[in-house]
Amino acid sequence: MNALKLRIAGMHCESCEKLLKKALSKLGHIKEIDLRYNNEIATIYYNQEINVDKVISIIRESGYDAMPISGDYSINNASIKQFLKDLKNKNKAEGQLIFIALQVFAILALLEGVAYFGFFRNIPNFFNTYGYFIIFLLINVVLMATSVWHIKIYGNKFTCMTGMMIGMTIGMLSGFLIGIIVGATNGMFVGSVAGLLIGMAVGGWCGKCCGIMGIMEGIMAGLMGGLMGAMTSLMLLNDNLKLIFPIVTGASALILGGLDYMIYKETKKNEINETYKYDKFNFISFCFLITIIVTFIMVYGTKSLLFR
Amino acid sequence: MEKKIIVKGMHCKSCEILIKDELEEAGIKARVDYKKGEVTIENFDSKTDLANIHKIIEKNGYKVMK
Repeated sequence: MNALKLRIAGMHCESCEKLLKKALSKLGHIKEIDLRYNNEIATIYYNQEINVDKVISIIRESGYDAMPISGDYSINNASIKQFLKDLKNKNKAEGQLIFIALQVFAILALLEGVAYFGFFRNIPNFFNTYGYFIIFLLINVVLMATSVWHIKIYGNKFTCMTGMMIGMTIGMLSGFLIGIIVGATNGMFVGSVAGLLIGMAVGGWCGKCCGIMGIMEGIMAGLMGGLMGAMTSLMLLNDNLKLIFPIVTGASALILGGLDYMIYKETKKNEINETYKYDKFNFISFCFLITIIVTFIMVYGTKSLLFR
Repeated sequence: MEKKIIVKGMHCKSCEILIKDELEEAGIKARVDYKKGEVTIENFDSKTDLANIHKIIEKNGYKVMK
């Protein structure tokens, strides 16, 4: 015997319970319905296959709302293992993305190397003042871009809640990571402005997948992240500023990994489509552009009094 | 002819729908108003089985005032 667990909203009395039970029992193959009006969670026991969408549409037609509990939103070992396996599989969208991200990181590192020997070598004490932060800039940009492109592969197919989650996570983290880096070399003003501009732009762009709500969420999170990033740097100036970078990057990687897992579970269609292949070039140029602009701001941009 | 039955224990729209549905299944057309506590049987005549109607309503947990 199989069981389908649902979360039902809108029931408020015994009659609701009876009505819903009556409507559901019209569906074939159902053995028992465990449904109480004072409990949101209902269980339907059935013998053969039943169509989950049909069950949900029956409940909605009766005037209530329903959502399956097991399924898209739960965390389980099997799906985490499958996710990690797909990350290594170059034929899946996720695996392909990781592969491209590593390539882009190598290309960007090479370019920064060229820039170092071309222009930056003459700047005194370059590594301590800029170099260390530029390394983290590269890591952070590629990290963010990987998640952003993971979202962009699947386009506009997210529910509103997921879209808001995406807008907020991407907006806040991209603002924060840029803000903390630029804040560490240029001070509060330039760090805040760079962080909030990039955070708002990227957050709004990613939140777009669920309309105005996602855009607003992304923009707002970008503003907060940008300001907070620069602030963190400034406050840690006389403390372990350098040590906070690997910690912050690690924490962000963990969060973005979780976000990617969520997107993976929500979409479940891992075949690469054509628009995604086309986007490969955009991925590289996006990372390249942001890295170059931020590097330029860091080295040649105006600095607050503390850094002169 | 219409026949009004006073029913106690209805308190929401779902109760209305439930009673209406149950009666309809027995082939009886009725209007239900939970605010007034009334079930109005349409096309009521000498052949209609009033006891059966009472039974259906009480089976679902409501009280019929006779």
